[in-house]
Amino acid sequence: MAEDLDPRIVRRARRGDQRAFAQLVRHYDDGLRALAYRLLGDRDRMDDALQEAYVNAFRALPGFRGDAELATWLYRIAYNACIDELRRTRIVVPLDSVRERADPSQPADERVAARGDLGAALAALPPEDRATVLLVDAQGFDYRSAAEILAVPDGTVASRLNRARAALRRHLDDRLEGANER
Amino acid sequence: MSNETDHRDERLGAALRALDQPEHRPEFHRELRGRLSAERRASRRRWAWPLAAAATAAAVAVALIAIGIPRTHKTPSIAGPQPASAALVKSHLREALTAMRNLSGMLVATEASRGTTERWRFVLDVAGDVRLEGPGDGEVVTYDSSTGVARSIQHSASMGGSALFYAERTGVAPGPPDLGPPSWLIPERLGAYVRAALASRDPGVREVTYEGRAAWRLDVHTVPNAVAPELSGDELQVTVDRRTGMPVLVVEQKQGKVLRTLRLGQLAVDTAPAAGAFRAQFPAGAEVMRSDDGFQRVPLARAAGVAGYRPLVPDRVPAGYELAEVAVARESAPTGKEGGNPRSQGVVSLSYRRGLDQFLVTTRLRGNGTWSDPLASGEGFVDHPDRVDLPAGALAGADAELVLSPRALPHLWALTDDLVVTVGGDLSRSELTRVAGSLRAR
Repeated sequence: MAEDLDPRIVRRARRGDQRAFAQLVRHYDDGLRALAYRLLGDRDRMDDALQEAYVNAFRALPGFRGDAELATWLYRIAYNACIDELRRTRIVVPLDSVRERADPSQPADERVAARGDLGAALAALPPEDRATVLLVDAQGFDYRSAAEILAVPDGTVASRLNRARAALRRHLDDRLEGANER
Repeated sequence: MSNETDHRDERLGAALRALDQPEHRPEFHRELRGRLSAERRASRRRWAWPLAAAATAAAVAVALIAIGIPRTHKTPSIAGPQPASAALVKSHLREALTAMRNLSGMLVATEASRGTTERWRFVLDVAGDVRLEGPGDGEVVTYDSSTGVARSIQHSASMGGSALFYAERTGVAPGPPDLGPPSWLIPERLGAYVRAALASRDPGVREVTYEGRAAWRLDVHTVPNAVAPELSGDELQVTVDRRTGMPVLVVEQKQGKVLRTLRLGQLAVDTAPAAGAFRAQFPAGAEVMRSDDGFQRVPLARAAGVAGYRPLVPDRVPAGYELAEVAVARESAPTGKEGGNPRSQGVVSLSYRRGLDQFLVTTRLRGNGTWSDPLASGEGFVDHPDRVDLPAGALAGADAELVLSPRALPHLWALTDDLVVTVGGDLSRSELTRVAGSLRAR
């Protein structure tokens, strides 16, 4: 999860300062892109959803009361935009677009074998489970914040995490065993 | 020891963070700046007339609730029935319509109130060619997109009897808002239902069996016609074959009572149409009624010479779409609800196709007349357009409205100082605004 943003930037952005808002976008964009891309599986759809999310956030920012963390608030807007995009278009994630970052120390044939497997396993999860494991395990949100973003009870976050981790850990374990056998 | 309720799987988290993610498209931040600037301008306007805006918002909200229009994309949307299933079905439906080269089959239309059933055999292809046979013996309608010629051999509805009448329309426009090919039955009537399903954000989805095959059924709430509410339904049930993704049955209901059904059968995809299938042959000596709609097919580079101005052409179209036809008319029939707009002058119509999907970009001279939406839903249906501020391109700063309504072709229309512009067809909201925002004079 990104570090907290300088409060002065947030104050300026709330007053409609577009440059401050651009700083705010840059601060959170990496994490939001990761979430949106893994939910939508396509760069254009990711960009469409994030454009909507940022415009919605810019529009709503003057009314942001700070009851929620800014990150939680922004992620919730982005998650809603992604769910809208999924509803409006498609939910099928093209698996060939899912790639793992190559480890240069890994032999090429192992890289090829491993490539796409975790991404494919993640893509096979229901979007709500996918979002939950990304928010908590990959991006470091606590359960309460993830629950706020996803608009579900804390217990639902826990059960979604259990399902998602069980599916993804199997994949990680398989990879480790495969590496040991070699 | 970690707190059980906040436990994180660090190893899994690290692996997930190592997955690649793309950068934004190159123009993302420029587009965003443009949209934020437009939002600031709109925000100032909103604050200038807060009471009027509040009243309008309330009226629109009441109207939307009253008539059951699906939620807008700005509506918070965590809750809702089976979003994944609905999106999946719609995805299959759209993919089926975009992947094929041609489609043939039988359409059976039943009007419950009249107790009539009519059958048409049809062939469509990705170029826009059409052949319809039926419903009466010997009746044929064809459209050849390469020449813009439509031919019909039909009985007279008003005179009755068995005599066949022959007609030929030349210079036919590629499609809406101008009077397009006579393919009204398949792409327009069935297409309207399919578009309604695609446009609806929250159709209910059920797994059903249709003629022994696994299928999905989308239940789409729609808006009865205000002028003749008894003739149009408040719910469409679109059954989609799970294996092919094709719509196979559409049932239009009113308060639970079936008004009409459309059934597609004997479907065949990507077969070779017979030679001359899209040009009905008239018997020797037949008396043919001929008319000219005024559109001529030209290369894009020649369009300006005919229209008298440089047409607006999109720099960007969604993946898979290609420019299929350019047609120009010095003058053509009025557009809009019941043809209420001024007669069209200097029309340029660009048709883009992707499989059986199509969208059109049209421009026509504005002149001095008063214009309303050229692509509005028919008389009796109410559209609720969204005002759109396009940050870039030839329509930047123009009055533009976007309409996504189950009864209308998805479209955006705008007035510039000189032109009336439409972008309409099988496009999503963001695709419509992206295409419209990339228009440039060429």
